[in-house]
Amino acid sequence: MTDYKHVMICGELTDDGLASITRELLNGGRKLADNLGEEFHALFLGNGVTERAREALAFGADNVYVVDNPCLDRYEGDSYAAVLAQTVERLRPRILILETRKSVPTWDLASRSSSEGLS
Amino acid sequence: MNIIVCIKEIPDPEATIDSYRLDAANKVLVSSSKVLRVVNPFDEQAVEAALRIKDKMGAKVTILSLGNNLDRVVVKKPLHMGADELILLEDEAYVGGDSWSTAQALSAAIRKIGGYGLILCGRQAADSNAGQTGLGIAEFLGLPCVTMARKIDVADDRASVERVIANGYETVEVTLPAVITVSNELGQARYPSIKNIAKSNAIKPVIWKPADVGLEPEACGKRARELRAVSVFLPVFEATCEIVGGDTVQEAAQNLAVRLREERIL
Repeated sequence: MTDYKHVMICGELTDDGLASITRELLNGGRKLADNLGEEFHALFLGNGVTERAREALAFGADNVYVVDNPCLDRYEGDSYAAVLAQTVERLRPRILILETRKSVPTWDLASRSSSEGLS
Repeated sequence: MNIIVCIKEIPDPEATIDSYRLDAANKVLVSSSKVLRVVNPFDEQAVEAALRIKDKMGAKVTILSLGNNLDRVVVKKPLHMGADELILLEDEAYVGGDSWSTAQALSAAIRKIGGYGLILCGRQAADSNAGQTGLGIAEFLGLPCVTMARKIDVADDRASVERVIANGYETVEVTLPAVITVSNELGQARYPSIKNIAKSNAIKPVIWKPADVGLEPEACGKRARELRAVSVFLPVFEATCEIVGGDTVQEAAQNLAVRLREERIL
């Protein structure tokens, strides 16, 4: 696990930009990263999210990553978990923080992807 | 069709806070012996969902639970409601696990049972509220998982599931076998019936030790935890009151604005 570094959040974008919970996460994640002396990154999955995701830079993210694909247009646990597990495998954050979205029930994403990544 | 329902025995969620004691050394909340043990209410609804399918099209419903010294009155309740079989993963080694180790042991047992069409769990346990075990089982077994079901219709090799979302529900279809976690919106679980109680009294639970499901005791319970509690505490609520004054109302309001600014509230 030694090559896993930095703090990452996986956020949500609404039509109006960053979801309010994501802004909270950006704030909390930035503080956590600063306390640990590590970089802080934000990740967004979805369809057509690239431009809107830039806003996270203004909220303190050092880097913003997007997985922008029509397949991710609508939240679906199986595909999102698979994509998230692969993305984490590539970017190797030490800490990944996920949110429970209000709009769609994504609370299954954390447990799905952690089991997927470790099994 | 064979349906497996995973249930958890928990302390009665209706018990008051003063019936719990904080064991700071072991970082756990301990319920007093006066607190009743019950089937997790969400799991009871999963049993209900299974029994509704059984009523409609016939099914064999197997109840699966994990722990040690499980209260027979509690774990046999689903049988009294109409389930057919009870398998208990019961051993000291299973105690103290997290969602991860619990899901691993349960999926090992489900693999051993085999021949299942549907695995049902409650959406979460009313004591730990993690809501991860059902999803973990699905990932370990490589099955699709639908969470938060309020209605399940089975036809052939598919299930149509109404899934609770923020402002209503969505209907999804999933191929079987699958794991489905059941939410309270499913509706009231049925009461045990005299007929089923009489019928199920003769049913003896099947007990599986870790070795019976192909697990080392070290791969179960406390020793297989991925999650460790750093501290457990009761929150302390403190309120302090500060009166902001001034010679005039305007001045007081100004002083208040300055104070709020200092505290970064404004």
